[in-house]
Amino acid sequence: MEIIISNLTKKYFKKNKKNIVLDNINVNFKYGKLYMIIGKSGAGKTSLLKCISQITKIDYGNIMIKNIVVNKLNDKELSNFRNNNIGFIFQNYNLLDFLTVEENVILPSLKNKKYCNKSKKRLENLLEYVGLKDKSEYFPTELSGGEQQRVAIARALINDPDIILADEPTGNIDNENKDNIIKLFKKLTQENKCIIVVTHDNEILKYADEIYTLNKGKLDKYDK
Amino acid sequence: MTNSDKIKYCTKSGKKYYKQFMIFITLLSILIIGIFTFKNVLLSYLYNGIMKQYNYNYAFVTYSSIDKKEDVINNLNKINHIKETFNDYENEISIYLEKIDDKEYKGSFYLVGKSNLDLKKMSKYYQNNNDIICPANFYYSDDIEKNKFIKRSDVLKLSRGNRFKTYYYKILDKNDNSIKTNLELNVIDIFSNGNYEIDENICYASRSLLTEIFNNAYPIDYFGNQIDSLMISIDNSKNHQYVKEKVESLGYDFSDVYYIDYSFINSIKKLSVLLMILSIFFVILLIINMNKKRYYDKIKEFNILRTIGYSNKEIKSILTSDIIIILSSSIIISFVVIILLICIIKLIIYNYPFIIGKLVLPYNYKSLILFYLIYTIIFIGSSKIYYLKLLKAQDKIK
Repeated sequence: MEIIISNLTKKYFKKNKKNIVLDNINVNFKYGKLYMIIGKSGAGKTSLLKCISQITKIDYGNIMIKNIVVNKLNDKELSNFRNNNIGFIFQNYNLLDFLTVEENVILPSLKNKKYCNKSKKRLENLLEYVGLKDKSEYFPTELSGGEQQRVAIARALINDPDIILADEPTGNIDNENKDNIIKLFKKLTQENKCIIVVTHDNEILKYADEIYTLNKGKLDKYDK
Repeated sequence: MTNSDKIKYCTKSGKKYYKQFMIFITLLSILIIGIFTFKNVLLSYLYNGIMKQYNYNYAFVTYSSIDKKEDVINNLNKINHIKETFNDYENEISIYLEKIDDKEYKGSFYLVGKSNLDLKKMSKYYQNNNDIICPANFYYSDDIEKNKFIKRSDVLKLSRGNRFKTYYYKILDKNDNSIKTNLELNVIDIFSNGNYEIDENICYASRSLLTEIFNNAYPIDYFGNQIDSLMISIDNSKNHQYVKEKVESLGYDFSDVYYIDYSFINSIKKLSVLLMILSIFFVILLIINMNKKRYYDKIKEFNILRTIGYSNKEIKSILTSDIIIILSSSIIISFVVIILLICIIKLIIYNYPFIIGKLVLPYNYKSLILFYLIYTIIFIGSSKIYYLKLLKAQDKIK
């Protein structure tokens, strides 16, 4: 299985000036691999991830996941699809400060009433997996950057999605935690998940199965 | 999300705002009630004529019928500062009200005569013996002078055609034994309280009715002599005390007729309406502003929810729960606080008994309900507007 992106184009308009961020991108991302996308700031890496998850609407082209053209789905179908199949990890964690660690992680599963005993057990396993079982009642403001990022990762994994999109997941954390996170991603690829990571960090590129560069709206494969 | 999850989520996310709205609405409710209560208390004192700065421009002079009326009038005219003497039949009888048009009421009023009074709307002829002319606003509370706090609901609006079932006490002997004597009266005309310098609870009757009642109530051999009275007008309220002393020095009885300054009352009424309008305007602005801030704080939150797979419809459902929780909690809390305050005030200041099991409503509960209604409409309206703006604020998450 794979993510098939064809003729993807995304433009932004500001003060009547057009900025083509993604220009006719064609790429396939296969399940069971760790992809990394690099490029300068403002190249459009985050926009690419947002287009794949349909957080941002595309202007032209198609994105097919599991034989479904996701850019043609309506709001309800898209939200269900995203909830079940895509886990998004933000650079700034984007946790909800008024919810505890446990509540933040379980939030995606509440939508589809998956919060039953099975999910609760999965929650416990996930928190142990990311090393935060003892801090389940803490609020995000009481955690370090690395811990918050791990909570975000656990939240992205609660519904066991096939696709993980991570935007600069190691941007704000120390080297030790950085390695741990990337190793975690590698482990997930062994569970046949498709991981796409956007990064500036050259140190973690060695873990990637494939590397792409995004420059002036064009996505090109990068030889290691 | 299940409903319990939604409530739990909304309670956590909106904690700060729930407190703000609860405090804000409670204080505003107290302000609204306070404005009207203050107005009513002030007006009831004014209507009672208890405040001494009122002008006492009129008075009753009561004299024994041994004295000839012409002599009494001459004596009064010699007193400085008496502007006018009304030399027509001026008997004054205290009548107790039982029913108006078959509805039970309680109260008392004075029945007097004044055929030469220039009342534009007054009928010139009393066609039947039991015809009377009454003020448009009638206070039927039991004892006006002692009752310091007259509720607005106690003010009776009268109209032509009302039938009074009344009674007075016919004195039987010198030991003050008396018998209740019924009397039915017909309201043939009403006059506006605001235009004339007249005591609030005075009704006018024909000479024959007054004479009949007076003679019946006070038999000749009880007093030895009949009692008559005149009304006088004083040129200035400052001379009230001087005139009183002079009249009493002549051996006559002097009693006050209260004059209510309606211009002052009307300005109080207008001021309270203006304060009310300003308060509502202030409320509307504040609610819209608080809602705006609340929603802008929620942009990031709702974008996160969208990213993890919540649709716009689901987010709207969470917002609806939020609205319901804020509205219901703020209204209920403010209402309870007001009821408690009123009970405390009644107990301490007015010594009213607090009857457990009986509903205790604020006097101006209609204005309170109106305030809650306006608050609800504005809150829901502004929430909807900001929700639509939220929908457009996608793609702001980084």
